Amino acid sequence: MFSSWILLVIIFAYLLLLFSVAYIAERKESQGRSLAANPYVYALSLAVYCTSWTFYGSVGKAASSGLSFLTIYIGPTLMAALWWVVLRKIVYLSRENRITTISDFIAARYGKSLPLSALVTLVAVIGITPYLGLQLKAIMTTFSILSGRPEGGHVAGWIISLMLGVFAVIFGARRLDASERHGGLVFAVAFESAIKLLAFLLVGFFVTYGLFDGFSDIWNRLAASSRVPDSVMQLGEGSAVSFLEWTSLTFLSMMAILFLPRQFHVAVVENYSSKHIRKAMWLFPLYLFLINIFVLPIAYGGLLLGGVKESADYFVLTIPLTEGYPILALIAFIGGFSAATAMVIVESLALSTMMMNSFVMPALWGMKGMKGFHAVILNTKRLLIIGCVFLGYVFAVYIGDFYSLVDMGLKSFEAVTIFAPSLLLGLFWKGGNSKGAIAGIVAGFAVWIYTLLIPALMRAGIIHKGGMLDAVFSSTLLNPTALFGLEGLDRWSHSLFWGMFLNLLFFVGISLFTRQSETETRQAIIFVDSLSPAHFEPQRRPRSVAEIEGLLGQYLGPSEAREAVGGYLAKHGLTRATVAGDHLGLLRDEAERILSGALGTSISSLVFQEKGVLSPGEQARLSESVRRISTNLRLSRQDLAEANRQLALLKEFSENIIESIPLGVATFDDSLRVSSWNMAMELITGVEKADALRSGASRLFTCMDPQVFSPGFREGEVTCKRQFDPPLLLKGYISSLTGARKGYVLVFEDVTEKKKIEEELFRATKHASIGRLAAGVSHEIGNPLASISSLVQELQQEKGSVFLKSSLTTINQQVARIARIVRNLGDFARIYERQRVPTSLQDILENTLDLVRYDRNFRKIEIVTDVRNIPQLTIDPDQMQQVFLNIVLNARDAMPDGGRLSISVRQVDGQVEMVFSDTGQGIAPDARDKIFDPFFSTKGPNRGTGLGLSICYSIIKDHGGTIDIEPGSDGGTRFVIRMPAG
Amino acid sequence: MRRDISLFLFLLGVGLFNWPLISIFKKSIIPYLFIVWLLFITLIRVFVTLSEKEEGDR
Repeated sequence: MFSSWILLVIIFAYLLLLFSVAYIAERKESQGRSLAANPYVYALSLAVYCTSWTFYGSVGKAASSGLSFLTIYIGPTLMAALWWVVLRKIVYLSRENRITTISDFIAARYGKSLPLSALVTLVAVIGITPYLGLQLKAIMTTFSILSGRPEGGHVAGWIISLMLGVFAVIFGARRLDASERHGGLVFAVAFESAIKLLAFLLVGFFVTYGLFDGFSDIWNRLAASSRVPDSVMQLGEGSAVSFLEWTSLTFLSMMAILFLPRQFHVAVVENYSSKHIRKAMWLFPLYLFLINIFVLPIAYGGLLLGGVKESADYFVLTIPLTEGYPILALIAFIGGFSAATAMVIVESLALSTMMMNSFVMPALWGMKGMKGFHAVILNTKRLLIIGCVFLGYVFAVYIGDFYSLVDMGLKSFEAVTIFAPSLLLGLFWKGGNSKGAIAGIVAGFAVWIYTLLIPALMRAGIIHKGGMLDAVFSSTLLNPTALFGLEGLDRWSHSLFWGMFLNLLFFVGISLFTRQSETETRQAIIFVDSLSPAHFEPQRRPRSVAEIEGLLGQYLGPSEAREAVGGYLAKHGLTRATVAGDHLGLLRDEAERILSGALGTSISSLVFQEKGVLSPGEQARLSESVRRISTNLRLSRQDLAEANRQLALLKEFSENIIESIPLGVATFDDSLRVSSWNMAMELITGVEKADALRSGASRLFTCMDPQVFSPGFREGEVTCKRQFDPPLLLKGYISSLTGARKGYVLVFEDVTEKKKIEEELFRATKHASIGRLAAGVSHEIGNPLASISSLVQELQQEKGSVFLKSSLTTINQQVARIARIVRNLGDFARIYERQRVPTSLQDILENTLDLVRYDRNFRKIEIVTDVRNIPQLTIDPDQMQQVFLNIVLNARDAMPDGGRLSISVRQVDGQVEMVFSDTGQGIAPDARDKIFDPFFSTKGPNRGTGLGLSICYSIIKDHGGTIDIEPGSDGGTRFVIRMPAG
Repeated sequence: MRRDISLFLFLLGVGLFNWPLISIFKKSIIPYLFIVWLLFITLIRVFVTLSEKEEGDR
């Protein structure tokens, strides 16, 4: 036994799980990844048919009246074989006509009759409420059994009813949905179907193989026992179930699987695809088969273990409990609970929708202009759902005790079977009308009340016999269990016979002798002819090609018809002479399909069947009208096609331009997701178009400073620092898109090369100006200086004081210094003749290093050379040696405390690359840009003229090469010289 | 799935699960019902699969 609180907590936890399952499924549905749109989920959701009546009641029925319980499942299995014909048609019609309940379906078939819809709803509510109550009664009873407290069941029932009502409101009426499709709810119902099947199989397996030694053991013990009479395990004469009762119950359950409001809801309204029906045709019967495998072992096992058939309804629960397996009993309880809750939720939703459409909406329709009308409708529906659940609860508490589980279920089956004649005949017979349907349903309902409900209420003591009633019920003609003296039938067959007989009699009779309204005729055509065999069996009414073309031409015009027929023949490689048999039928189908585009499916079908619904005059008017419309449509289509073609060309043209321009172009929508990305943008960013289209802007420009794309950015220079390649300098422009498509256009122009050339040009111009100045200065100063130098040398030969001698020596040294500067200026201005001869760079380098090798300042410097095989270059060897010497001496000055100078010479991409790397103090980034400028020096006063590197630059440029300075890897400086190898 | 096959299956089922056929198996009605039930489901499945294949081919 479990305490009531623990059970309530378990129930609450289970419902929470159910909420989660439904919520997840609903979320997936809203994301377009529906879990419910699946044939297996569809088949499982159909198993909402298996309620607590199946879970508990089947065992009870098997123990008390043998095999009749099987009819409840064999009936739906037989009906499943017909689903492709019947259910598919209902689904199709419901979808086409936006029908969401069985009452609307029947009403729509008979001219959208509101009284008929209200009547069907009334029958369903009265007929189904006991069934709803049955589920809550099962929950309350099993709760009491498990908790051992009979009084606790009602309280638990109240709480659970409220929870189920809330669940149905949340997942069935959170918003108004014209399609009434609820993916979350359906998935939760399918989930519950799986739970109840597993729970039942577990208990069945436990009883059969845990408590007994398999099926044969149970049968053998039964044969030896007197607890179960043989008649229970047989059918027909002398058994608990007559063949007639068997057939009646099978028929009732065949109807129930189609017409119970919850079955109509899950099978029709919640159907996502007609293909799912095909799979469900065998999956659903298989489910029924599996859930019934252990019914007999549990029923007979329970009896053999000492149980009595009066309490066999709950053997599934009581056997594990009495055998000392409370956890298994709890699993069985959850299985039964899931069976009951699924039914309560879906049934209350279906019934509330029926009541809403049939009673509430017509009553409230006058208020449709009222503010908040939408909220009124929604809240009314929610109240109706909760009302339905609590109606079932009231029934379970106050009347339910008088009924067994089976009684309640079968009464509901009988009630919904009342809809069979008007619905099924309405699908295949056009003659029925609303008067006949109403009369038939009223007659059937009256029989149901008189032959089933009143006797049941009398047996329960709710209606008391006596007086007039006694006299009526005891009479030969009006005895409710032997109406008009018909005796010998069980109560189900008796009620079914009279109900169906009178229902059919009134329905067909009145329909035949009263006229259909125009709306009824139209609806009859739509309902009966949709998915008619003519759509699938074209071979039945073959015509000649000329006849088909003529018929088509009558409505579309001869040229259109000729074109359509010719197109079909060409597509199938046929000629008019060779078309016969199947091809003729298929051609007829194609023509009907083309015509249905103009006339609609039903009318085009009629045209080809020549049903004669249109008079010759009407045919002529219709033909003329359709021809006019077709002509207009054809012209519009031609204009549209031309406009489309032009648009496509324009699109292609603009796309080609954008793809081919050397500018990176990307467009973004207003949520900054990429909508286009051209090839140049791929090259600039290194991000491929396919990757870019899947990403947001923030992920694409990782090489740039994110601040660049601040809200105010419209135009500016951006540096893109790439991982493996040199950085790119880009000029970016951002502008907003105008028009219907909001967003932005980003254009990037790669200005790296342009910028470099601009800098080169600027430097070259500067050098040229300074060179001209230097040439003039060196010429003007050089000549007087030579005179001064020779005079000083002569004066030194003369005798004089020590001071004079010392002064002349100083003057001479300073003049020599000035002469050196003037010479350097001359070098810079390239005033010397160039002598370019094929020279080995290796030799020049060795000569240069020989010059400095013995310099004491080089003692602390390690010189490493790496000269690969390089061709001879046509260069001026002296100038080149001057370049090398300048760079080497600069390296020396940069490493006063010693270090390493690495020199490598190699051939790279058709150029000779010379790299001088030192480990010195390096050059500050802002000085790097000016290092080749004349007179710029970082060595301080009196330590250099600032012309050395400037001369190097001029010499290398003069030889068609480049010289660059870069930061070294060890913090020093790298000079990279590239010369053409040719 | 063809309409006549559906109708055939339905009528076959009605015949198999009703008098007079079930009266022949009165002595062993339980195994009869369950075996025939399973075979009937299998038959539906076979026809459904065939029709799906046929539709796919088309």
